[in-house]
Amino acid sequence: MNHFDEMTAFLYLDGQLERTQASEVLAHTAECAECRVLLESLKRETLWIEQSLQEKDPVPARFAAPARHANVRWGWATALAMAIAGVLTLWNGVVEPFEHQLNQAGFSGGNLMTMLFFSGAFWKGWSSLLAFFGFFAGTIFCILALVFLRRFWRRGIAVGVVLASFFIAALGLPVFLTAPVAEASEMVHGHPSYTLPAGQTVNTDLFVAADFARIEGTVNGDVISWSEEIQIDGHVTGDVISMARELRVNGQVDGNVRSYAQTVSLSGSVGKNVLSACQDFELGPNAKVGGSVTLGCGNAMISGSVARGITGAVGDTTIDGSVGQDLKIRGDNLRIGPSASVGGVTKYTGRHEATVDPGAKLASALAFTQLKEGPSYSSWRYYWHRAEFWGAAFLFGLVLLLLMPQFFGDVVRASKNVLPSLGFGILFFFATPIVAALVCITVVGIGLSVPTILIWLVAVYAAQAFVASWLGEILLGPALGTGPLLGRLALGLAIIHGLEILPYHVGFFVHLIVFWWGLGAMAMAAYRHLKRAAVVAPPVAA
Amino acid sequence: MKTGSPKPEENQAGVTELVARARDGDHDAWAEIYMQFAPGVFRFCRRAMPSKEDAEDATSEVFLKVRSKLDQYDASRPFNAWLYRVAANHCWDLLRRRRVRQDLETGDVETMPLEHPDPGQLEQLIAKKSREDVRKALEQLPGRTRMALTLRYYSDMSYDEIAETLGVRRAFVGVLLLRARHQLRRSMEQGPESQSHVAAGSKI
Repeated sequence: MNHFDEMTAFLYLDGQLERTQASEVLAHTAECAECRVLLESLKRETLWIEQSLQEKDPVPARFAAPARHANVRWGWATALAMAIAGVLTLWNGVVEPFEHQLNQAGFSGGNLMTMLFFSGAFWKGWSSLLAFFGFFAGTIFCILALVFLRRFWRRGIAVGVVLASFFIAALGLPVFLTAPVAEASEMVHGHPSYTLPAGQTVNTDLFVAADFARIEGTVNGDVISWSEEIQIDGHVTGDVISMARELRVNGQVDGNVRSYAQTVSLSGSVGKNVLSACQDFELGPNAKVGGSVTLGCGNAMISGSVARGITGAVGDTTIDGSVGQDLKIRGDNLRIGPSASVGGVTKYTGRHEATVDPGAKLASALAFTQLKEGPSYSSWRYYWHRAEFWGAAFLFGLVLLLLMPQFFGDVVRASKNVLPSLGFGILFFFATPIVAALVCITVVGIGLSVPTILIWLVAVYAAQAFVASWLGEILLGPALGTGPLLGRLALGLAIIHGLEILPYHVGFFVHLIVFWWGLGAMAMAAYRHLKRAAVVAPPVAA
Repeated sequence: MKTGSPKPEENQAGVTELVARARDGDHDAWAEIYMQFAPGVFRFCRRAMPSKEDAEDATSEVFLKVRSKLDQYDASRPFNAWLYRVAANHCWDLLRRRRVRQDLETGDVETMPLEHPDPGQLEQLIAKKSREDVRKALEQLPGRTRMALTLRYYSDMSYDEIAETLGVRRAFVGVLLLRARHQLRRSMEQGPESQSHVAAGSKI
């Protein structure tokens, strides 16, 4: 046999030759020194290349294993501290004042009934609602604590306890829902109108749905109504709760009047408090309110008497009646007429100065605060508020991240597709409330649309957390582990909230874009999630 | 397949659990995986790519890819092997996309020198040049040549695996490898000053 070529020698060494060919090479090598040398040097070259390539050269710091314990603990400690701070700020800044205001407006104890449509049940009493929120918050923090402890526990136990607490929450919910529901009530549908004639008495709560409802008789309970127009000329011993275009109370209501309407006019007497969100509110000259009046409306004309205070956010307010305690108004214009009297302090925050007739009797001078356009940069409180909003957003992001880490990661990844995210986001941002409002036309639809709107609100608020994490990852590189991810979240939120300080509503537009963007990313991630669940993932395809 | 991780067999059970947790969205498990495998993946990319910067970028991208593909990982197979397959495919994609000297490389694949090389000269080269010289010469080689050498002599891949990764016929892998070694030899013989020239225009 002749000498073999280098290719044959190479393939022989790599074990790639057919058996017959290989034995030929072997036989030839036994007698040919020259080819033996070739094989030897090729073998040595292989070894040399292998050793050269496999020699370990230094790895850049970001790929080398860092001293992770220090990092992670710092991350957790910071996150925990921020979370606690966030809870305290939220509690002091939002929940407590809110509860205080509710108490002032008479929303305490079991004296009032309000309507909240939820799974077909009516909730009586804000206090139980507040208790529910307290309970809900408590549950979330239990879960947070468990998630935190999970690192030291066996996974199974922690998951079990979390599930158990959800179970308890689920058991607790129906208790809160069902306990305050009215024991017995009468429901009437009137087409097109319903009238409770004078002299007749209903001894339970009365639910009215009609185009035009008129109560001339007596109701020994609450009146709850969805009607286009409702007029109460008779006597209601409980509360009047109404969603109507027009509500007129000429008779006597011993309890509270709560209404959402276009026009509300009261000329009779209300034993307790009045709460109204409306376009026009009128308290006639002969009207008497035994408690306080709380308003959110376009125009308010108060000529009657209010035993306690008036609090309101009202465009144009005219006071020409008597107010037993404080008068606190925020709005565009305030006019205090000659027959007005205010027993407590008079506070007005508005765009234009108030006009006070010299004949008006005010127990203390009017305290006026000019409402300014745009942020007040000189006040430290402004920055403190911005920091509070930032803390609240971070806290919310933290809860999201810990409760559903995978979805969180998916949404952050989906945020990278900026334009599709924005497109979907804009669609959902506008379409959801419109659809919910349309569904609301039917009574059954309310049960569907109220939760939809609530979820939509939560989603819009959550949007910033995802965009912020995306922003943080752009600046600091991809996050590894929960601690660093929280750091990126905090940084991103700080930037987004920092931009809010810019004048000319730049911050508003930034936030709007962030809302759209994050909302769209959430929609895309949810869609992918559903699709993934539907299609079985293919095996390894590297 | 050889990899950058120290004891793949021992770790396999732990790694499988980590991967399962990371797949469920556990960020800490993902961090653990990253810390365990990033140095190895970086070293692989360092061999496969022409520069350190390219290798750093490729490493980050490989991990982004792996993270989004975790769902597709078949837990019954070694994670290591899968990870390095993803890395190899990604690096090869990057190199191919650049199309540097691609036309030249795919030109005359069948014309291989069949003469005996001079073993004495080869021995001299081995004795004279340091391992670092080999690595420097490797950097200067065209993408596919370097990739082939890396897959074979760094990752210890089989001919089948190399054929699949580079998308060539299996019978061609031997030719590719030997030709790569010729290019490496020539590049080193000519010294660093002319290496760029080799990379730019060499054709065997």
